[in-house]
Amino acid sequence: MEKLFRSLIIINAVLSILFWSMPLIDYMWLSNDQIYLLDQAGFGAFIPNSIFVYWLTLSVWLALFLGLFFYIKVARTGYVIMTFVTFVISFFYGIQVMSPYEAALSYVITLNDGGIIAIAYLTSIGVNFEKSS
Amino acid sequence: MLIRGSVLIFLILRITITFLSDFERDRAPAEIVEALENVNSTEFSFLRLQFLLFAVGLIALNYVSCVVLLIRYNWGKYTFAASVILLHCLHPLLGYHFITPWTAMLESLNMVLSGFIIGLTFYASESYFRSTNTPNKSFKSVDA
Repeated sequence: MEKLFRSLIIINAVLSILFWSMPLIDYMWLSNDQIYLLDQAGFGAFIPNSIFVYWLTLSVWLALFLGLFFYIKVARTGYVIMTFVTFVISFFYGIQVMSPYEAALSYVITLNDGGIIAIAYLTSIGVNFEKSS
Repeated sequence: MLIRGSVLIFLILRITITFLSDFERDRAPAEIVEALENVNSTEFSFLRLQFLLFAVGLIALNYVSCVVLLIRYNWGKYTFAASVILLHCLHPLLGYHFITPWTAMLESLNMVLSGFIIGLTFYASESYFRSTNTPNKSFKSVDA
């Protein structure tokens, strides 16, 4: 179970880095039409896009993954809070336009989030978090 | 209780998202819809209809597996996991898409719930499912 849990965390950390880095690299193979379409993301947003917040969010996620990897209890609670905060905040970022690869990555990351939460709280892994506290 | 509650919330969210995305597609900005159709028709036309039909089949399988999970049959977890994972494997083949804020929020919640249900049914549900003993296993235990 520990192997599975830690593998999920590593996979999610790697995919998150890839997902966050996509806007920096995907213009290399996208056509102008596709770039124009992706630029439409954020239509009707309440919160303006900020590069600082963008990278800060990734840093927070990575810190939480690190905490989960070493069974730090605060990281487990923080992970759940961050997951739910992400739902709420996504509402204020307006219309999201996603390329097929971004959509696939995003869905796999979110799916893994659910699996990580279930394993961290409801299996024998939960004991490791209790011990570490 | 936790599994049933999660599956029920999942079903409610799934149905809401289906109706909401249809409703909001009509209210989306025309320029986004036009650009989207332009890109998808030129660069993702290859077998798109077939993939879409396959995706509809998988969504139907997903609903069925939810019902099977609710009536506590063990095989429901395999069909549920397979339908969810296969649906996401199809994403890169279905082209670009947009999500409105409400749908984005509910869709994320639904995805986390899918992962949660998979984790729960595979690794934390020893007593939830009905016995899966086959007649052969019963004979073995009697012999022992």
